[in-house]
Amino acid sequence: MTVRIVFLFLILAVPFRDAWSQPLLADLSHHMIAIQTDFQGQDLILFGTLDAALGPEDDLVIVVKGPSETLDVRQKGRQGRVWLNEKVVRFENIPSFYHIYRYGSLTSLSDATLARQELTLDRMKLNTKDPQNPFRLALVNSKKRWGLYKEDTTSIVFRGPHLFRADVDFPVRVKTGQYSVTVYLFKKGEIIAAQTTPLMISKDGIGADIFFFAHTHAFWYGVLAIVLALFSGWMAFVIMRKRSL
Amino acid sequence: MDLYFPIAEMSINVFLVLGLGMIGGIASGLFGVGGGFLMTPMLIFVGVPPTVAVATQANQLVAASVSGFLGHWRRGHVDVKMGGVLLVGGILGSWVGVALFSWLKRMGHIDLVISLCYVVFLGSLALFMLIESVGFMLRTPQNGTVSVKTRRDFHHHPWLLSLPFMMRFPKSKLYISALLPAMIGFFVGILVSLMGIGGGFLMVPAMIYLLGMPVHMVPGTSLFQITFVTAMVTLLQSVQNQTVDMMLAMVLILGSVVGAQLGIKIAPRIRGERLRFILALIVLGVCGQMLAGLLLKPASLFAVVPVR
Repeated sequence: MTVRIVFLFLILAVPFRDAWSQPLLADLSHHMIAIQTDFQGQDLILFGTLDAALGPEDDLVIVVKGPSETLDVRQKGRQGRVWLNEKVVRFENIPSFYHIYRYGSLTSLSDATLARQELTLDRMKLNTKDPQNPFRLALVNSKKRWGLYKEDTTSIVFRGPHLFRADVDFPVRVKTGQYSVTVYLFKKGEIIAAQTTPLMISKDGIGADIFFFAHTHAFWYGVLAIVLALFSGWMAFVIMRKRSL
Repeated sequence: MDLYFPIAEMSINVFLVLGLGMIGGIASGLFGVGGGFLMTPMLIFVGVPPTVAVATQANQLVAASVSGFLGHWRRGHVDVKMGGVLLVGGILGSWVGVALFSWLKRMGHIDLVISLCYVVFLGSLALFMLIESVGFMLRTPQNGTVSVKTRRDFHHHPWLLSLPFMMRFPKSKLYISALLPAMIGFFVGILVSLMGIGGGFLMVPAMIYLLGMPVHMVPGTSLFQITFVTAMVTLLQSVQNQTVDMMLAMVLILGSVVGAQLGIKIAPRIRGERLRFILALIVLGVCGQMLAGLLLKPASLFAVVPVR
């Protein structure tokens, strides 16, 4: 019995003898993005290695997923002469951020695999499965316009057969919270390896202090806002009076 | 140079925000209005979430109205008793307005109501002002004697005198029912919380024509009331919605202080009726924009809005 277990361990351990024999290894240039008052969006570099070069039927896919949020999509309609909101569809707990970077055509992947890992924007689980649903379409298009949803085929670049890198861009509208970066390696439609790396986006500096203060001591925040406004209004009055005298 | 505003959760060019504040400030220096009716729509147009724009604008108006109020106070042109009665109505009105705001938001018709308020209230006022100032400009060259209805003609309605709670306002030399200013304050308070404006624009004509207050007492007294109402709205919004962006407000205040100085310098060089004419055109422009949004087919039928 013990001999069998040791034997099993040996078999399992063989592929992990050293780093080079792992099918996929990847990491991010930073695991933390700080949103300060001069934040303009930020690019991160994801780099990694494969133990074997990609064949024509192989695919490498990176999925970056942001914290979830709830959004309403409103449709306007005409009633009489006026355009007003007629119908609202709520999308609950959808990713606020979803970027898909891929290298390879994905043609050898089955529909089930694409849907399970949500490897294209059309296959994301957003209320309805129909990607042509007008409300869903409006949501995805808005997200794309803000740079929050993206499908990209050019960012993953290979340096030689094993080494790759990808530029992951976080636009200025990113939500703060926990992000995850998952790299998938498919060979002939079968998943070989997957690796997930966490990423934290948070506010930092005076902006973070203001935000924190506003949410933890809402009453005193309001009082401070009023006092600051009264003070600057008084200052303006004093300066104006000196000028006019 | 872009700055990330922590409550609005977006980066905006600082000079753009300063410019917006300055436009509002010039308007307030020139016309003696708060400028909120210009700044709130402009902030929303720049991309600031409407809830943040309305709440932050209230904070900015605290600064704008207190500096104006102090100026009038120094000259003794503030009727504190009248302002107090207006304030009682205003506070009740803004409570009702905030409740109405969240109810309309749930129903999904808040945009429509905001637009309609702008078009109906500001639009009709601007139209009235436009006609009056054009008439004035056409008449003045012939002879200086223009028949102006005295304020007494307007407020001596029999039913106004039969209301209860008659009160003496010695500073304004009035003996009227306290319900009248309270009702005006109440009505304006509702509009303030719905539209994100100070309301001086609506209150000033009401105080002149409906209450019959001496004209020189009106701006200071209305600013006295507006300072308190906007301060209360700032506190309410901070506590309930956390939508007051202090940083955005401070940059706007800085811009509006500079703008107000410019406005005050320009004002004496332009004749009063011309000023009213220009103001009327600007307000009609804002209202026209709102009306177009209601009547024209929107570029996109769908809108994506976050749920707080």
